[in-house]
Amino acid sequence: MSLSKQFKKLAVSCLIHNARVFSTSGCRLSNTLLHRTVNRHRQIKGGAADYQDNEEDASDDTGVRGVDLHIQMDGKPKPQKEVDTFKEKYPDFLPRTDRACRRDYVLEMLHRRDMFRRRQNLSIPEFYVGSIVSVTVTDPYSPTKENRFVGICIQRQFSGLSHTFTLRNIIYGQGIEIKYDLYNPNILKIECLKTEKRLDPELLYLRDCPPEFSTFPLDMEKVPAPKGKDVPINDVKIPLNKPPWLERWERRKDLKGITGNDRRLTYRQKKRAVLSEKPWLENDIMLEYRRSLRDDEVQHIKGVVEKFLEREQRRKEEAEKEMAEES
Amino acid sequence: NSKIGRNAKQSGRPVKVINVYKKPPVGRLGDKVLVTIEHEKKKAYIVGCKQRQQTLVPKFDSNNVVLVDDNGQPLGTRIRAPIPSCLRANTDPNFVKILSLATTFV
Repeated sequence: MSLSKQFKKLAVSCLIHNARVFSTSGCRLSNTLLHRTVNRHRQIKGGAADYQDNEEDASDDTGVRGVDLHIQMDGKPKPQKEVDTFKEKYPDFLPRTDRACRRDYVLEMLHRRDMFRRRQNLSIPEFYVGSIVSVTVTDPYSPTKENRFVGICIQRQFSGLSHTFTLRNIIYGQGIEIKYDLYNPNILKIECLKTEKRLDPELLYLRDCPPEFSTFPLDMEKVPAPKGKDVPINDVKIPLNKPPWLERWERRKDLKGITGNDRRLTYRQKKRAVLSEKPWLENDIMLEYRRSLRDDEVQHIKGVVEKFLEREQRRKEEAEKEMAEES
Repeated sequence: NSKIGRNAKQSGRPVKVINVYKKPPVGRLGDKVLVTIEHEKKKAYIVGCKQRQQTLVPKFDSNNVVLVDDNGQPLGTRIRAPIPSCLRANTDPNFVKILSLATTFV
């Protein structure tokens, strides 16, 4: 079959598949929701057993499906928790939610394929915002053709192949931040020297904090991650420098990782701050719905990723066996 | 670490860019600029930018500049601050002299 025909077939099958599964108004920017979609959404969250996804394989629900039990049956992790950990571990596989009407399912699927291909060649470790990561990039201008940078991950942006993460460090007194694409072929090696999380999803406030909190030695050794346990959360509370700051941190009361958020404002500044407040946003259900990802969708993506990982594992094991047999 | 550079740092007087030698006069990484420092005008090259850069190009917390005289000879003998290695692509002979003084590349 010619390439375009193959692509068309794939595209159509993907669309149909996705249309059946995600055929709700979750992809339309609208101010009204149909009753049945709302009920369906409610049922997913509440965990009614009669919502069946015909296309996916029946998931491993052994009676713990969605029902909020405090007792752990069979010692299996609750599906909600699995979904959340997956969301944090692989934010690049989650589709973008800022433009719900513009979501292109075919593009997402193609991105995912390319991401898997890249992951076959480069092992991308698990790291979070707040972990210390070292990246080795090919550099045609350096004597050793490589360039290594170590820093704390302060931000992870975008989804799919264009997923980027920013590393910050202070070298010889100079604060440096470098943004890397996760799937850039110039990257030779990514190593997570210390896997941990912080209290906030983004650590951009480190720019306004004393330099000790952003300095990490370039020849830092790898701190082994505790196996089997949850990712450790470093609940350090960093004091901000004195104002003026690079951003209005006094307005960000939701950031838990800093102290010294307050600032004496003039009368005019206070008036301006009140004007820019948007208290209606926390009650905007439609916005929340548009920005959120449905759990069954994340489960689907999770399933795909896990299948890939299993296949990779098997492939590696087979390769090792072959090597052993040869030698 | 030229004499004038050391004086400027000690006195705390900020160095300011007054002219950019480029057609749309916007100074980016690697551009030649005119700079006032210690009540004097000197030419300089930008080696570090606070501006948000592309991926793989480092972004610095302060705008850094290497002082250069009218012929293009750097005034100091060594550059302690890290310099982005993407500047090594410049084949400009003046720039090459600056890069030879650098100690660390990012």
